[in-house]
Amino acid sequence: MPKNILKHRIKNAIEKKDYKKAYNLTVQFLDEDLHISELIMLDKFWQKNINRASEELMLKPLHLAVTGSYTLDTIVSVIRLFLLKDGYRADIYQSDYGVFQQEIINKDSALYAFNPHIILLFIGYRDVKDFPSPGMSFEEINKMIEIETSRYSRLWQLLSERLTCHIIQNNFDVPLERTFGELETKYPWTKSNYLRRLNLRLGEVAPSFVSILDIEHLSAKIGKECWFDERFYYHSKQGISFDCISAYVKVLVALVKATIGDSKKCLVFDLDNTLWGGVIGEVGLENIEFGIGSAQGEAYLAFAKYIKSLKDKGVILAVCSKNDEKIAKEPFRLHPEMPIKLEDIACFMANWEDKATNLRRIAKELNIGLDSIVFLDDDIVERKMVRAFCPEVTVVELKEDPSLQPRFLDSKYYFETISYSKEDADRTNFYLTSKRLQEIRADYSDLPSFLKSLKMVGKISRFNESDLKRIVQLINKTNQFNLMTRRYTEMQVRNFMKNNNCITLSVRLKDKYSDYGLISVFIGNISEKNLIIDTWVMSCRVFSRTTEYFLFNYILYDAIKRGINKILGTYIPTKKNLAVKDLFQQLSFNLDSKSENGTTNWSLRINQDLPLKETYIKAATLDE
Amino acid sequence: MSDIKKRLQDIFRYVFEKKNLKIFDEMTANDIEEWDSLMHINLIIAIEKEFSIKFKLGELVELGNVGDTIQLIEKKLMKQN
Repeated sequence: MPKNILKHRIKNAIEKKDYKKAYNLTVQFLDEDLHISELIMLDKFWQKNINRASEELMLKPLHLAVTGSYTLDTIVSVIRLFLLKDGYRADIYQSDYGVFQQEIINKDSALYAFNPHIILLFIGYRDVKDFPSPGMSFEEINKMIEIETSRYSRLWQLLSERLTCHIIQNNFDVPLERTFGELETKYPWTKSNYLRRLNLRLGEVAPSFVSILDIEHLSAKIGKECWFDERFYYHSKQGISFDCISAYVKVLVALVKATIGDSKKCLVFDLDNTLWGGVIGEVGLENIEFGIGSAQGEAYLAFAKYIKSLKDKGVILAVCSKNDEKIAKEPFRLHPEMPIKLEDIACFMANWEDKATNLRRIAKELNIGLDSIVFLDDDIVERKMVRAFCPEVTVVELKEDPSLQPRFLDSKYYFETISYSKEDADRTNFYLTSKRLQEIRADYSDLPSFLKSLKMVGKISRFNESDLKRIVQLINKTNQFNLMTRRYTEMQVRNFMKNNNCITLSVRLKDKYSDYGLISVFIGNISEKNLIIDTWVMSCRVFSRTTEYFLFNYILYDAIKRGINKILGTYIPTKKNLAVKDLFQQLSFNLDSKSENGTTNWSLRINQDLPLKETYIKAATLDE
Repeated sequence: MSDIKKRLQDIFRYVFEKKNLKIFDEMTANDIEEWDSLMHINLIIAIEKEFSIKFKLGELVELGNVGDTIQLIEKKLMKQN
């Protein structure tokens, strides 16, 4: 459909209040090669009706502040539009041109009154005012770098003290002109090398509540000839060329979503003509195109390596293929060049049933939502089927040429995260173990004897500095076992930790098969002999193991020791946290009130007769 | 109406969202209420894309009236050929 017709249809649909249709057309429109005026126009259409539209489309609200040293109007429009495409209603605060530092320093500024969830510092190399002079020594340059980066650390610090928000900041895009030509790479005092060092240092000093958006990489990826348009910088202080704004905003939106735990978790891929060339059931292991020796084979191998590196980053891998299971597994067991091994794959579905059904099975088995799955398949019919029957799954329009896959998949930013912890690297192993457990569980006639056989050992600790990263991650990522879905920054969690009126607990769990690490977090506030539950989350890896009872029994004993009379809790329903709908009831709480949106308030009186629950987890002694 | 003028009129109609807008040589920003600085940029970009030309910094700051703009586009297209 031509662009202008599409645009008119969107406008008409919005005017007729058919927001679902307008939304679907918008998604289609954004796939086109659009120029900035079209994006701004589209944003305008939507903003006129955003209240009604966001209600009907159930858009999630998001407070974003955009500040920086360039003109921001155009970028703000495009950010709003792309967030809308991903299901968010972004309320964007935009600071005036060139005053972001004053705004951050002045605690009474409108920025703080706005109270954003996320703040963007849109800067670039023009913000660097001092450059080394030719011949400067390493020491002097390092000093300059420390001064430059500390300007930003100070701003981050102020923001984190006054707001509970995540910060996203550009680094410095190295400009095209190089006075010293190829010599620029040789000395530390050249402009290019100085900016490169500055970027390295900025990444190093950024604390966990700051994400750096690497515009040096992005400008190189797009091409610096296109990235800079000096005319519009001099004309109206545009920081990047109009043609590059969409590309920038796509990265930004991926980071914003990662901040609130809205990234994909699992990559499900087909095998024949997706991971290797040819149909293994017909040509056999020896004749599939894979590995060194043929051009296509090398391309497939490179793609497999890319997928393996995603697994190492923490993405869960699963296979969904119409195949005989035994034959389909052969390359993973026997092909000497296959970098992906069977133990890297958390769920292997090779059978002759339809893929939609198999994807649902995979989601169920891994205990993840369909909406956290990305699906790769070379077959257009399979892709259509999955889109129709599992609309929650993200289906990739895979390239026909295997050599293009890694770059293509990478440019989608599906698996963006804002931190990396050891647990991420081990994630697949946990899923594998729990799958093995599901198989074993089938052998036991009753759950208690199965749970006993696991010889589970749990360890409850107060929050401490070394666990902080993982605690923050768990609070922000957990959707299912999460009573109120409150999200906290590292700074906020640290405040809970330091507050004597807070009970902050974390649980580690292991069994005879596996060490699950830190899997549950509890935060409670004590106020006038009441313990108010603020946050209680648990990783879905350890569901149905009485972990919640293990922790709650401890809380009950602790409450008695502290002379607490009553424990108060609230459950706020979301699409994903049905798992804990009845938690308070199971824990013998009384239902105090229920509001229209399904939120329930509960309380439990503490007396000598504690309602302890049976748990199969043994408390760790010091040695354990 | 010349081909360039017709294409330019389509751009104006598209950018300003006015289906029946008619451009004339003496037309300036004063004749269209919505023609502010942001729309000016939108217009410039749309013209550059449509005709595959680039305005110089001085030209994009002072575009002049529609007639001047058409002449400027013609001049740029001539140079390319």
